[in-house]
Amino acid sequence: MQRLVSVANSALSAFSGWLMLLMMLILVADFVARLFGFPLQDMAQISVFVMMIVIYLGFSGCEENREHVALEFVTNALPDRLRRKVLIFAQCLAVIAVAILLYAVTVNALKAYRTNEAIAGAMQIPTWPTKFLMVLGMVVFLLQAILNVARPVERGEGGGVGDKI
Amino acid sequence: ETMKYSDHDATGGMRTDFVNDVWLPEIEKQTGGEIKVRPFFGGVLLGSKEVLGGVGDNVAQLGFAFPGHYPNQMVAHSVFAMFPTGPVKFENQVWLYHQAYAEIPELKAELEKAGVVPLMITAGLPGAFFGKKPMDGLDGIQGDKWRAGGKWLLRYLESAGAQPVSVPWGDVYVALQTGTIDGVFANYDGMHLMKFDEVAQNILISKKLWYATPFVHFINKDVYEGLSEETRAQLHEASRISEEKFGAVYDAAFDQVRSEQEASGYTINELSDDDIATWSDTDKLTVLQDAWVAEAKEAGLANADEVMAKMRELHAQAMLR
Amino acid sequence: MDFLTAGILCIALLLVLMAIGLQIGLAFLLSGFIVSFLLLGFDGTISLLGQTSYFSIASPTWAAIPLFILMGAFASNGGLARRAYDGIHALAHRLPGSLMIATCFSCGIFGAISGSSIATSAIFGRIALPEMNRLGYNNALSVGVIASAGTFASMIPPSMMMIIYALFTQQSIGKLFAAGILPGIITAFAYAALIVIMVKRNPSLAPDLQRTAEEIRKSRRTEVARMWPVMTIAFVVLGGLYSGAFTPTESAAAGSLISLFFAWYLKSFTKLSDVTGSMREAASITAMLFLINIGALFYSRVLAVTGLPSELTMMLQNTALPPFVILMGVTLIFLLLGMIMVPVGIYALTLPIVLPILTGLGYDPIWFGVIALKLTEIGAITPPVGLNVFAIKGSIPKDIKISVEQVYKGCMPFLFCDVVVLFLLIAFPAISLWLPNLLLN
Ligand code: NA
Ligand code: NA
Repeated sequence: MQRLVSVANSALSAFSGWLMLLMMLILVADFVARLFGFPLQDMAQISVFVMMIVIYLGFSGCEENREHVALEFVTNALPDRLRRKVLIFAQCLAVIAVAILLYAVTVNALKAYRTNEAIAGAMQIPTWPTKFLMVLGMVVFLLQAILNVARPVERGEGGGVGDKI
Repeated sequence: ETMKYSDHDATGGMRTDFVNDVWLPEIEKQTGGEIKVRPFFGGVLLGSKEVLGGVGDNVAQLGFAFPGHYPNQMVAHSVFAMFPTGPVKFENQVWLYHQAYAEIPELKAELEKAGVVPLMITAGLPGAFFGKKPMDGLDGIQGDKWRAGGKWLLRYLESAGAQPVSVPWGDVYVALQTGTIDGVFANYDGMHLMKFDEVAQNILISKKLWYATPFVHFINKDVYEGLSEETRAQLHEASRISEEKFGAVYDAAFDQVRSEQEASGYTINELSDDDIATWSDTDKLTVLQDAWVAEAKEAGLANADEVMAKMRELHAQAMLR
Repeated sequence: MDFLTAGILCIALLLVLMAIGLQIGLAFLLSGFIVSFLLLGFDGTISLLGQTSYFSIASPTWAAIPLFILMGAFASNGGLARRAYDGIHALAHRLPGSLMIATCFSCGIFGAISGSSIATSAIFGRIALPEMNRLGYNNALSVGVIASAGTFASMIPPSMMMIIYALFTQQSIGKLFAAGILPGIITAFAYAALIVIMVKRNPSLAPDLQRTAEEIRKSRRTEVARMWPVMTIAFVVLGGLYSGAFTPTESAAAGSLISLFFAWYLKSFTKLSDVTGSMREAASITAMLFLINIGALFYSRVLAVTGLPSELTMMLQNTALPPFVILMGVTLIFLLLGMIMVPVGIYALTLPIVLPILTGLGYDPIWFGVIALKLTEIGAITPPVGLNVFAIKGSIPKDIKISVEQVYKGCMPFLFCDVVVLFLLIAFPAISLWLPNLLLN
């Protein structure tokens, strides 16, 4: 299972990386076009959609590599066995929190689709495609959070940009 | 019962102060204290694009929405924006809004679909031009980069000869300061509140350029239906009384913004009748109104042409009042 | 449930969840969810959470943060940061702690581009920390400098928080921008002085490398000359922003592009995987940072619903205490709220109550804008919720072992320094008001 999720994480992370570049190019195109007297419309809004996708597709990879920041000084002060138990408990709560967020994002995405919610601008860009991608990111995030219950964070492992990248 | 009111703007503005000082107290007064309201201003509970959904889902029970923020959910409401000039007096604007609500069922229908019931309508001050360069008329915007509030206003700017740009609102102050853009067109009070006049001190105004799209204040539908007949009547009465008082607030706010700007030494010019004719040029307007009908149909408003026809009729009546 | 119970439950839950090691962003979400569930019910809470998860951050003002992070990844992996720090080291190696001081002033210059203190902390965490680490500097103090100096982005214009303050209080943005400049510069010099004193007392914090003065003198010219790409980037981005070529948001995109260009041109990036690696890294930091932001923004909304912050502030109304005592009360409330709440939430909940009280007592609203900003920026580095601290912790490479607690510890000296500066600003309003009065009256 972890192998499958890891493959997904890796693919999402590579995709998000390219989206970062896309985000940059959208905004560069915006000011270059404006400088030449052909202002483009809604580029900043479009870059926001890209940003939202980058964010939500990236959660799971961060979870796999323990990059989501957490406090460690209390748990590090505990003896090994107790520390392990506390961290497993905390990770169970993490699963609950992620599940709640997944549910909320899903309900919100479905409503956005039903009401054809759009962002006001020169164009009317619907929000639901972005929101469905957010749901996708949350599903993988939930799977990864569940898998992490079985492997509590090693001392000093958490946070920071991982080597895997 | 304590209800929550949510508004994305901070207190200190024309509308927010009116809600805080007039409408909400009037609700408490009319209902004999049966309904108390706890307001959340400044987007501290729900942002500008969240209020409609948030009140519909009963996160807050009362709220305010600018229909421009909900392009596909409040399509019918965007018809007002297709009339660049409007009644000078708020009394006549609000007459038009109520007439429209009575005769165009699509307006209330889209609110009902969102799970809210309209109680009161207010409006922004008329549209105004804040430019960096000196200008004594609409000629002054020719070929320059202008930002406007909303899709149709951007199209009007284009028709009037400007280059419409869509710099995000959070960047507009600095963009005006550094010269990224040359000017901005939106409601007079809103732009003054956002201090755009500090960095774009050449101002063109006319009370004829109403800010068209109504500001809708509403209540959650289920909450509303759970109230007794009597309380509902009291809510509407409080809203009616408040709405009547808003006309004076509207005029006073206009004069106040103007006098504050004069005191700061900004240049203020009134748009000439010729300029207003250019801005609301009938030929170009018909093209845009037809475009609206097509786009509104696409967004799900099946009888957009009827809505437009009805609005033309009502708008003409309102202008004659 | 009354506001006090709900508010205290909200805070206690957050602290407990954070303490047992739950990811910070998720700790915000879960504690916010539980309290919101009690106050708004299940459906209302899900609706609020669903909307917050999107709309609280889906605005172009936030878009600069990922792009500055991308710029940081390109500049760091592309060897540009290394050139900058080698150059500074060669130039100023005699000054104790020169790299920290340089970082501190670089944050000030970067603050003239970026309006976001989180973005500044994240980018300098990525760029500056590995370099200082490589040159033997103490890690905790290095991150302390970065987290604290990241706040210059808010104090030095352009500043998102100044604009928000202006919106909530109807004050002039121009005057606020001008008011922040001198306090920003003074803080930078105060930090520099502090660094010199600390390093003099304990040279191991910033060791002079094994190189002799002679060696450094020999290579100085080349190392300084190698700084040209960094200078060019700074010049282009600053020039582009202030000439109006691009907006603050777009400057982040311009900065990323030109950093990528130099990394390629100087042959630090030779394979596509060098570029994609940096992109992936930036995407990953972005995701990490925004889980915290989303959580913190949701949590701030729930705390607003409990009513605790506004009730706390309203205690100051109608008291007959001397003005200075009331001002100290306001300061205390800002510091307390700053420990757990995001600045925007603090402004929205307290300013409508606090500002009329203060102006009624004769305090200047522009001056208080600087004080309020200083207070909320102090909040960005105070435990338990310090957004700048989290931003750095998440953006530094994993091989540099440093915990959140160590970052907080590293911030402590600067925190004391900030408090001193704060009292200077309170005691001498002219520091804040001289420039705006000179320029805009
Ligand atoms: Na700044
Ligand atoms: Na804090």
